[in-house]
Amino acid sequence: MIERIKQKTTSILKMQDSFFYLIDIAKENSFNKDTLLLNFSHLSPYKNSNILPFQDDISLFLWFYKDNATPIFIPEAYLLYLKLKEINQNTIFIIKDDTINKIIVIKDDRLQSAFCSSDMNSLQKFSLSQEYSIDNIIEISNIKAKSILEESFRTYPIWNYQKWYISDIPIKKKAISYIDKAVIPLSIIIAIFIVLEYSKDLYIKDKYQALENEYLSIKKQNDSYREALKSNKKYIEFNNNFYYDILLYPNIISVLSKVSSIIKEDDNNTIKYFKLSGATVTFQVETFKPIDILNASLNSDFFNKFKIVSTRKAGRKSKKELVSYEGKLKLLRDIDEAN
Amino acid sequence: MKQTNILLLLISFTLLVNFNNYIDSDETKDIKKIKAITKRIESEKQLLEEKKNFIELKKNLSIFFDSSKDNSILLGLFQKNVKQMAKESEFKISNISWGEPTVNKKLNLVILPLKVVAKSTPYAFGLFSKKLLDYKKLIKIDMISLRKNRKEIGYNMYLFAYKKLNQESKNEE
Repeated sequence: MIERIKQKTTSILKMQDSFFYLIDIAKENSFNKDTLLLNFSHLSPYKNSNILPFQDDISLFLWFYKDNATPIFIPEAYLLYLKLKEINQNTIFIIKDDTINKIIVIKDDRLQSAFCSSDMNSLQKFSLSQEYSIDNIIEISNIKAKSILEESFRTYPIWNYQKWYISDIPIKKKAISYIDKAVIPLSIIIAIFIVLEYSKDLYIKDKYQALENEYLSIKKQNDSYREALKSNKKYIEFNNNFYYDILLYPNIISVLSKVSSIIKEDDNNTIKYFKLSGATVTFQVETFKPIDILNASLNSDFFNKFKIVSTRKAGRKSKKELVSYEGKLKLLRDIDEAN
Repeated sequence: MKQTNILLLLISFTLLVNFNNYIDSDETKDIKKIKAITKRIESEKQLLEEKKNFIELKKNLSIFFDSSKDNSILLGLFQKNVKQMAKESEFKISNISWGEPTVNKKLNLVILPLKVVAKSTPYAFGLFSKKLLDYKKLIKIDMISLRKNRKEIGYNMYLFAYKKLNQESKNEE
């Protein structure tokens, strides 16, 4: 994947299309591209040239090239140097081609020079050897050089590209320059954001106002209904409370009527006394069948409890009994809940 | 960095921060209000629909005595009407006495009690009871005792009538 990206985005800067220049520098010095162009552009053989710098601790490698398209590239000489120095660290390498010779000079493990020459005879080789004080000259065929170059390009790590293409400007300065460039677009974005937000805010307020008006209008229509509901509720509540808390027990006339009908089931029964106060009902009956009256009263819906309080003979000769009964009335609430 | 750019940047950010604070708080508040009012509108619309089927209850408060009148006047009137009903049903009242009016604060009601002592036939009592039930004001028989005495029956009873208090008459009480 990384290899594919490298292949697609990077190309090799041919030796014949560039001019190499080496400068010795102090360790702490650093340069940006603009400074280098300002100081060394006069060395370039091209009229409109650009510069590709590479810096190590003691050297500054400069490649000048024609300033037209500026793809990301790595100098061919540098890639060859990386592999050739493994062969020998003090050698003049001559890559022979049909038309041009590429000369790479490596001395003390450093790239000293890289250039092209149309002709390279023994005299020129001798003068090169003298110039760089290097006796060792190795000639390499173009085919072998190609394979070395391809191998070097393939193995050159992609993360090393930042050494070539990331400028040495301090981060702070770089950040400021970016901010400087971004101020106007940023201000425009902020302005657009403010306008949009403000419009949205206005829309929300208008929407709320419209809803509030709608609400007030419907509410007004419902006000009378609301009052009527409230009044109904109050009336129902009052009636319930009156019924269950004031009337409390079943109507006395109904209770009396029920008791009378129970007693009158037998014509021989005679009621002597009846009292109803609060929940308590007491009555006295002369009867032959006291238990029948007890059972009928218990089966009526009026009483919670019902009992015979006392019983005695109605008279010396009478076979009837005088029976006193007592019952507790159910509450109206209990009767309604049971139903 | 250019001074104009610095100024522009500062202004932009100041505007942004202030505007953002204003917008954020306000917008959240408004959105909450919109949600709340939308709910209210929905419930009002529902109420509007219910309104079509609403039947108002007939509130019959005339079963209570006139709240504007004094308790003594009302007890007098109550006694007069009871006597009239007894006379019409031949229910022989021998004695009527007034009880002490009491107030039910929960329901704002004044209870007007009358104690009735009578001697009559069960038939006359039946007629009298019916008249009490049919009377235009609500009358509750709160206590009753019956004792057989030769051909007639002796009756002892408490009759309660009610006066509904309004706020003003309650204060007077």
